[in-house]
Amino acid sequence: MKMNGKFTNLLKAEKKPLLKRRNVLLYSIIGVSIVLLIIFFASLGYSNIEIKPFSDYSFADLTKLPLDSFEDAGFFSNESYGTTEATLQSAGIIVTLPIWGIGVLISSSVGFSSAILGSTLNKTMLLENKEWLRIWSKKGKITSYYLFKRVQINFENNRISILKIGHKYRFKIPVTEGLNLNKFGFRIKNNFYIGYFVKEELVSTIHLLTTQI
Amino acid sequence: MEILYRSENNIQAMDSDVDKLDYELLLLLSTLGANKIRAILILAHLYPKAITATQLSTLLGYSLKARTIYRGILDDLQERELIFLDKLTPKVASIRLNHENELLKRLIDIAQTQGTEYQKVIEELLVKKDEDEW
Repeated sequence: MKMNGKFTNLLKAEKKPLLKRRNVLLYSIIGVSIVLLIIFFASLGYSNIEIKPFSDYSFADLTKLPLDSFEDAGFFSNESYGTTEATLQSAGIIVTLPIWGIGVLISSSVGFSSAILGSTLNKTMLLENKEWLRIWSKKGKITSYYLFKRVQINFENNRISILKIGHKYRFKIPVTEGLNLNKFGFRIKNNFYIGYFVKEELVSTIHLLTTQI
Repeated sequence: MEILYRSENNIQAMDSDVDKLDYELLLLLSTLGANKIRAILILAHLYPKAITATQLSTLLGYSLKARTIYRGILDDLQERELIFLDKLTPKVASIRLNHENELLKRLIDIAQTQGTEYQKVIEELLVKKDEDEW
């Protein structure tokens, strides 16, 4: 019998995009920041770096503004690069670099921190304001969200905690009389039903639990 | 009025036919991703036969080189104790549905009684695959 094309198509695995849009944005920001950092370090090649032991500095020196310490440290403006220079003084290290180097450093730092902060917030907020989470309000009460991807829902006689581990959500429900979740693929461990589900399976899983608890 | 009365009767009859076990089976299947459902259905129709991961991945349309089926589907189904995965050799595994699960047992019953056409299609696919290999 000739194979039915439609049937084989149905059996084929669904292809998922390798990178989601927000990940592309995140990686772009990190990428640009790395490039800016490379430019910054390259700019150090046009800079004067001098390391002095602490003993060479008086307290007054350390509290001076960087531009003031510029002259005290014995550097002189290097006009050959055609840029205004500034010094960074910290822990006995004096780095003199072009002013645009400082600009690059600041912008790359802002880029890095915003990317890391953005990704952290993004992951944290995955548990908040989501439709699947609102389903619980019909059955139980969402008592607390925790930072780092954990949520707890309290019922009259039961309690569910959901924790996001990597790409999976772990459901933890106390074993009680009359509740049989084994047949739905939950496993008993330390007197708790434990089940792991991916994001696409969340709504159905919650619906399943609301019918059982 | 008579027609309406009859239709109500039909709905009541349907309600009594669909028992709790069937509904829970639907719930169980709904908590699985699309490819896991396909794998479970294929295994239910093939029961009591066991198939290898390579055969299953062919039926699911996976590339044999990809090995995604182990990581994404079989490991998960085994962890949930929905399938039995017996590794015959490090690279060859025999896969069966967990008939001890009451919901999957019900699915096997339905598949065996109602799914004869689907069984034929799956078996033809497996035979075709074996012929291609030779």
